[in-house]
Amino acid sequence: MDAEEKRVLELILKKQKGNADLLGVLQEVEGKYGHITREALSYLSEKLEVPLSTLYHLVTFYRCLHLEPAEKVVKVCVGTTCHLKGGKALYQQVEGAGGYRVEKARCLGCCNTAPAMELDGELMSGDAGRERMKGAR
Amino acid sequence: MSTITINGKKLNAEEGMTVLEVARDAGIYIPTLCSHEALKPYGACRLCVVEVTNGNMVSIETSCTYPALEGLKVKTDTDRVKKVRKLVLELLLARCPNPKELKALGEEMGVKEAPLRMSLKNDFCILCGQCVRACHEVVGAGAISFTKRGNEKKVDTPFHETSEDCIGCGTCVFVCPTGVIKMRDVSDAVFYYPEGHDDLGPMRMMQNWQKELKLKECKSCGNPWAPEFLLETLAKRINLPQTALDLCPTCREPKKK
Amino acid sequence: MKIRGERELRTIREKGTKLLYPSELKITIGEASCGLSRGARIVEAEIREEVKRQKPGIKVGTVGCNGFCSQEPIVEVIAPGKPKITYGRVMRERVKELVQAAIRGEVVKDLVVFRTDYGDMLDERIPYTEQVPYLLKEVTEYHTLPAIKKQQRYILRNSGVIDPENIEEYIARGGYSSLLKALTMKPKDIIKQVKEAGLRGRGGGGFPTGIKWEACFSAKGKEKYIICNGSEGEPGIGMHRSLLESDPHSIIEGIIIAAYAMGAHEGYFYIRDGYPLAIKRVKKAIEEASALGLLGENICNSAFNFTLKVKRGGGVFVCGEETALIAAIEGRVGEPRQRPPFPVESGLWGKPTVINNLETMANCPLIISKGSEWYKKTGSKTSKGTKVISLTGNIKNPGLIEVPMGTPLREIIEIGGGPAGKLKAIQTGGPSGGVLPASYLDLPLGFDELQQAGSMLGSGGMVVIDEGNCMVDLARYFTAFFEDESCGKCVPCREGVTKMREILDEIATGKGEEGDLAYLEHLAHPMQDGAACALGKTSVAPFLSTLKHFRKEYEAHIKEKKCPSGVCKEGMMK
Repeated sequence: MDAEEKRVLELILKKQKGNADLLGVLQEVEGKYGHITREALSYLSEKLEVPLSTLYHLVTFYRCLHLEPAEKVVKVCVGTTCHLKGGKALYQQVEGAGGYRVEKARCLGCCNTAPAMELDGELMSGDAGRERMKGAR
Repeated sequence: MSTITINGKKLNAEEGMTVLEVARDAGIYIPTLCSHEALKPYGACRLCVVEVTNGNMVSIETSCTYPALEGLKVKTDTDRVKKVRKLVLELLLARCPNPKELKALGEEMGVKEAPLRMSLKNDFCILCGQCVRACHEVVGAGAISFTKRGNEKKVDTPFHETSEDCIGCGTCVFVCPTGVIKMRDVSDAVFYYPEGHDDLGPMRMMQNWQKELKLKECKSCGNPWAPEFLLETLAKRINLPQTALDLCPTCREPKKK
Repeated sequence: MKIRGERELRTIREKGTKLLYPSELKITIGEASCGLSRGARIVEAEIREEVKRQKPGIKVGTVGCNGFCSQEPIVEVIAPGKPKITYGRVMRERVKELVQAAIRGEVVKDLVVFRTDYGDMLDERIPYTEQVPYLLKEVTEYHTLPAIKKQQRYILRNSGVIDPENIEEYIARGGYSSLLKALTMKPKDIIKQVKEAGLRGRGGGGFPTGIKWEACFSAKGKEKYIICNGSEGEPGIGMHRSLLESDPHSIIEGIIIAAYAMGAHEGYFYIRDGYPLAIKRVKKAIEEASALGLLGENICNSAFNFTLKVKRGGGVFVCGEETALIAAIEGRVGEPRQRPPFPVESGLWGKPTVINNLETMANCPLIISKGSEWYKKTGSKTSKGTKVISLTGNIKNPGLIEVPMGTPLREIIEIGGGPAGKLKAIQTGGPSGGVLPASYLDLPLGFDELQQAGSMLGSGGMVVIDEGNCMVDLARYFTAFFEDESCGKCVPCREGVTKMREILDEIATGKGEEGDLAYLEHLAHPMQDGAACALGKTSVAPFLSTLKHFRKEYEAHIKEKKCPSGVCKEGMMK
């Protein structure tokens, strides 16, 4: 872990007052680096005086935390309406896409655009998303 | 102090007691799997369920976590309760068909094996969490934890690798109800590699956590009695006299004349 | 400037009114997620470009979701003295034409959805125009739309009307006057009003809010907490996202009132991880409110201190359950725990805590400013007030609507334009709810009514199922949802749900066996009793509910290997 990473982690820890908001800290680390490295986890364990296994449990329990980096993320909605309108098929089509971490989203809240997806943080219809992903290859 | 009724019997409960504790004190049998008197109740196995009437609310609750509130009426063997216990055993036997402790418990409930239609696994861990809870709450090593969620939930070490924090105390082995956690003390461990071998001496193997710990030999009798790492860790936490670190429990005792 | 009382509030109200009723031409774009998913940002950029080219004085702004989600991207033109014009399905190519028409005082006929002659704030009307121009008379007025006439948009009154990132517009429409009134009342009286109003939890439990507040108020201890539950992880319910993105202050105002009534000085607004825009807008709203002294120390000179923090969710559905939510805020894994003790006695950090759903919170300012007697006039005997419904599925116009409790389900579906195909069933209450066949269409909307019919109101999701959907597939889908979301703590849920899903999979792929339905019931009933939390307990609802009303479909799948609706293909007979 380089000096810069250490500094970022220290800043994140400084914001913690009183009861350590472990989930919040881990979310911030993920926010900065896109995922949580082993070194970061060990460092946090030491500074927060929390067993490494506890932090590891949190990271593997919550969907918003990842141990592996991913440059591009696509979330395919598999909510009720999207399911009724072909969300499952859309997911299967997108699943093997190279260079993407494909996740299932349980309702993106865009039932009017079903089946919907979120590509790199942008909401769109499944058709538009597929086009975009094709073009990117 | 409060008074509760279990199966029609009026019983006294001290502040903070659970229904299970009151029942046990009175000799009333309620089966459990994830409960342990040294550990905080978890309420995961659901085997200890009872029918509770609180005011005019009737519900099925785990007796290991439910507080013995004043005026509570508890029934430990209603049909509803028995059905839950049976299902729990069926599901656990589908997950772990082989541990003899589970089979024995199943026999008690009238469950020989999981129903035919249930898919079977061949696990030995019932995820009761006693090992994890003991390691964190009692020992304070925090070497292992639950990982993941739902039906992927597993007891594991961080990153499924050698646990740095494991001190080889064996508490997890002691509490595990199915005996899936294993520990082996080897007096003459040898590490072989292509060019030769290393004599490691006495070692403790915590196989599930991929941890090998060097055992310390008693200064007096020479018996390997505790992992060095365990002694070092304890010494950092509390002030231990040198004899506690150098001598095994037998040699530490004053000689009887 | 800090708001110390009526005077400062009025000043800001005047400022905000000028924004809502501008003295120059103004164009707004609907930018909640429903609009954004249809390209609203592209349309906005195009409008700004066009305005720069043609008439730089025109104001361009954003609003939230007005409920007509199927019409997105929505663009509105407000010309001083003229009715507001709402355009729908505006694509980039039509922007030039639209802007030019606006400048000329004309209308692009084929894009117009409706006109609005006046803005309404519950019962006050502020007109956009004194006289409707002749040319616009043929355009339908908003309040005469059949879809709107049947609604009672109290909670959604500002959605799609105001800029969600500008507190002045919220205040212009009466915002925060309820808080000022509450701060002059005794906490006991506030709780009394909420109790008398009969408000029941809008998150699914339907528990009387006033009683919850009273319990927390009476609980021992000075340190108390308020948590607003915005975790809404249920599939098929976009509406809470919509309210968060379109009118965050309406919820925040409710939270502050609740905090004051309880004597809580710290609050958490837990928002689902999958809603980044909602989180952004709520954070901004909190900043704005704090800057005006509506949050923080000495709120509006009342000596009451209260800070509100946004807590981003961990991305798991189970955290919608109260005790799992508390665990997440405390930095633990979201596993539920035993109740009692209930959160109102021992919640966050072991202190008395009130947890309310965001729609429940949004009801509070209305109760305080208009009183419980007014509130009780809307709704049915045991379910008072209105309910925001997320109407989706195979319906002509999916969207967000709000109706008084007691409205028959049939009317609700009509508001959405009616079913797109032949109606088979209505799925209500999210995955934990149930299905009601078409024969139940006259059922009035309400907590108890839906529960007695074998379903649930839940948080207000309503999915229209038609003949082209398969009930076995639906049950399998929902059961798989629960399997994915199970926290894994207790045996009945962790092991049981997977076993149920496996058999439902087999039934749906031609491998169902005689006795499967009895076997599933054998699992379901003890699971309901034995599971540790509502997730596990209601995980059996999809199966039990579809079995109750559509047994024949299951039997067709098992005995004949046929799927009556043609959805299940693998392993089925042709």
